[in-house]
Amino acid sequence: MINEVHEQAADWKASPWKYEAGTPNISGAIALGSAIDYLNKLGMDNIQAYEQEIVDYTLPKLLQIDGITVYGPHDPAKHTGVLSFNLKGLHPHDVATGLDMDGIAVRAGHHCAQPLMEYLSCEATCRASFYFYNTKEEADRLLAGLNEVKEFFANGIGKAERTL
Amino acid sequence: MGLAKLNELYKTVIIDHAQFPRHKGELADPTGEKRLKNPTCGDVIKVSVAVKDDKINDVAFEGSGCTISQASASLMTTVLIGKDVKTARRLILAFSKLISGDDIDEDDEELLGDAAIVGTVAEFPTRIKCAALAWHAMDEVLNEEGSGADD
Repeated sequence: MINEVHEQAADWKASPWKYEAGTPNISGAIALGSAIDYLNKLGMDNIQAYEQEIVDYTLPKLLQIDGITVYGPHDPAKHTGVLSFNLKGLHPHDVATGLDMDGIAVRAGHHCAQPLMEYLSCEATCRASFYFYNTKEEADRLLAGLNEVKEFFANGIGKAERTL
Repeated sequence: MGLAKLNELYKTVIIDHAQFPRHKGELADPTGEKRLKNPTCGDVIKVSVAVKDDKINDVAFEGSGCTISQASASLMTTVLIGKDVKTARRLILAFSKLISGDDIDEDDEELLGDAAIVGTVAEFPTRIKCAALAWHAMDEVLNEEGSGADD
């Protein structure tokens, strides 16, 4: 922010105020306050317990899918609601597009964690993130969707014959 | 079932090229090479070309990635081998328009042949970059070829 501006000269406030020109992110600060109030109302313990319930339900079923690699602990008690996985022989972007067609949003890619991908010896993963607004029914849809995607690519690729 | 729409993207030709990529590997005597990485997904493609007297005699690609990026690279090699550099540049531009959902010249669409099928990716916005990667790499190789052609 400035103090005074002339045609050929200007002077600024001292740091850090000189860098604080314009309207601060007031709505952002108010929204953050509302979000904190909302979470406190629900109770962080309740949120954690519910998330754990979803993981307890989903992770064992996910691990049962043939050809799946689930990254991180396989013990639900040690896993958060963020589940990263790959299906054998399928690129995570192809899997994510398939799930997308079923109305299921997952992230696919290296998750801004390229060194971790190197450590895990994979180029990318799919990642489904469960939180308190997700349900077990949605977990079932994810599991069903993964099986459908597997089937689609198995059949599609199985039928393909070299055309050249 | 929502998955039915997947057939629009993963047509037989695309799955075929992904499973049996054409001209995958390295050229013995490339005149130009370019390695490009899609930073959002980690796909890497290296394109090599052999250009002589303004004619693209050979193209090869290496790299890993999803079905769309592999198929698009493979289809690109089949389209551009044997073309002169000027036509290749025009087709690269036409392909870029096509996957963005724009109409292209009928002659160009015919020259693109099977590669034009990748145009359906326009309906899957998150996958356009997958389709574009190899063609961008090729564009950069040809740019570099152009700058060194008169030496």
